[in-house]
Amino acid sequence: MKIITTVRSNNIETYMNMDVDALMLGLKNYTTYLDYSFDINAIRIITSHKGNKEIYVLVNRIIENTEIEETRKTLKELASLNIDGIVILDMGLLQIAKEEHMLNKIVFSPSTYITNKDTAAYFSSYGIKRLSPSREISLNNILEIKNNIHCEMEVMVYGHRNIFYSKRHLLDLYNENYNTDVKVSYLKEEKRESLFPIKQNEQGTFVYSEKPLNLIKYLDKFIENNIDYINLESNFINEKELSKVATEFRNAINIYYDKEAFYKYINSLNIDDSDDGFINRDSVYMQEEY
Amino acid sequence: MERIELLAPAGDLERAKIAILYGADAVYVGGKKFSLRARASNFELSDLEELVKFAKEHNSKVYVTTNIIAHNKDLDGYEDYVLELERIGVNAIITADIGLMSRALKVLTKMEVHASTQLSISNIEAIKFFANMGCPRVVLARECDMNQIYDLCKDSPVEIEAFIHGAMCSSYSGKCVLSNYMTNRDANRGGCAQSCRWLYRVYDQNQEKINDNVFTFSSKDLQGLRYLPDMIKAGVASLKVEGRMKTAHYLATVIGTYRRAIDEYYKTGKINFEKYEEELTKCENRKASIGFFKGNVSLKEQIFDFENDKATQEYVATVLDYDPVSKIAKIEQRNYFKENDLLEVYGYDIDNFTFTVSDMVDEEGEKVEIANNPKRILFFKIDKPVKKDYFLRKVK
Repeated sequence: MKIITTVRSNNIETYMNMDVDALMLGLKNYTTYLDYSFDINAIRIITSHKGNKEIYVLVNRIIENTEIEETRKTLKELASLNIDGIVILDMGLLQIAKEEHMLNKIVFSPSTYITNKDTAAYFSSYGIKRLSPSREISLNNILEIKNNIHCEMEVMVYGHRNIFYSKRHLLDLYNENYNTDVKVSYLKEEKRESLFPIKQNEQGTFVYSEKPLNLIKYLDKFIENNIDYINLESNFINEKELSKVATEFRNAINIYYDKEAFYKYINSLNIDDSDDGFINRDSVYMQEEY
Repeated sequence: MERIELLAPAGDLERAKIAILYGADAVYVGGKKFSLRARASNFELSDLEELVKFAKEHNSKVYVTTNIIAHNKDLDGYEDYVLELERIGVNAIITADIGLMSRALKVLTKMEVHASTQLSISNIEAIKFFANMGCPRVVLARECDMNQIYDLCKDSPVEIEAFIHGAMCSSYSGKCVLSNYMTNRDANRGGCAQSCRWLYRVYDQNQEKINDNVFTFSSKDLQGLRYLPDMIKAGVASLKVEGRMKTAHYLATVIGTYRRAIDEYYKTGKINFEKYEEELTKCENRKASIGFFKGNVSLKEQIFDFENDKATQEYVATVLDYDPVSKIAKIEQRNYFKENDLLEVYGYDIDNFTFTVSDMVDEEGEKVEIANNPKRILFFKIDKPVKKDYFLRKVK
């Protein structure tokens, strides 16, 4: 099992020193929601010093038709670099990857779409390197998916989940409507207590889960079922905290086979400020379930 | 080039028939399972069978949505369901889940599989992806502007369906799980709580409230009437109206209006937009805008005041029957009206006309001055012939 994390600043050395196996870098104009993105030259330089770290590039947004040919060129240029993979969201990029014979570098992470074993099996047989399922499905669902695919699987185990992705620049429109210039960081629905982080950039508006996910208590299940990569999402998490979390996951993985030590360690960790998402619950949708 | 299809939503059999009568070339409906509008779906297989028969009699088609993003437990029974739909003559299913899509494409031999707007298809390569899967039609993301729609139609190997009217998600369709996190109701399996329509307050990076100005995600509805000529010229195969939860009167008004506008364009090369825009104001509407047709949305496309546009005319009754000899219409009341009120008749095959209510009686023949009981059956004279499923509106 390998640990992968997203890089949200240009302190690349800090991330290189974290106890993770792989880094995901944002690419200018192509990455949603990370605070910092690199250009291709910077990525080229980083990969030349990557040592034993794997490097992935995030091209994780919906691509408009006017951009698609430029995106094709970008993907080809990325594939020529010494990177380990390209993380994509748009199905059009799967089509391009197939045409350009680079599916073996593709990590498909379409956020909400991989929710069942059949969908996962389809993409697995498409020839991709790895897939990442939805964060809104149960543990059983995740494990059934893993048992139904041949490609690698990556599961988000830590961090704030993106729960809304819009092309609209909603914070700009808010300020324009009220003739203000306020910097909004959180939203609170008028009848609920939760504060939801919100960001806007050129790609659009993004809202996140109130608390970070932390699935360290389920690590045993992920290890037993051969999950290939666990993803620590760095958004809104400072580098010191992220490094601490990475070390905790690494320590747990390293002692897994000493079960007593493993569970003692896991249970000693304070994860009160996080939640476990939908791991233990299934959302409802039929009226009689409300 | 084939004529553009007008595709109407319907939440039940009655509304589906109304949509077809008022000019829909096709209707899309949801069954009890696998459909996003789980709360609006009233179609048993027997209803679908009846609808398919009715549609064929009126040269119309039926599409069934199976557009949930399924979890493992939702997969069971899908092949049997779509094979049954194929057997009864449904023309296509609209699907958003790749797993369900691939299951359907393996077993179906006649019924088409269309790729849903929930997949946020925004570029030609995504269209090719679904074309290669076996979908002869894709539904575009509502974020495509008109120039992009032209380009996509030009290059697409398959048919393109695009929205022209109705409610819009604030997010890319399929990419919002606000409802899941706020209410545990799955937005992508039919349980969406419409969290994007709620009111929010804004906080700074220290989690301190900034002010009392309401933040909303809420988008105005799409009204793309003025882009109808562009859609036809671009080669869009199907114009989609959103609204499976909408009333029969709303559907009749919207579908009837777009039907007339489309027919007028094909006949004359022009459209009297003002006339049709005025007609659209006669049903209850959220405030409307052009959505993304001109590019990314501006303030004009967002809602901040939450006042719906009030209908300029109030729908008051539906015609159930008419005796051409006595000229007495039998109607079912829906809203308040009274003797001497001026009412407008809106029908699927006539020009609107008005009449004054007089000598209104109930089923016992008792005179009625004020109609104030919804669903009450009433009778009065209308000199010009009317038919079942015409609508009566109060002229203000």
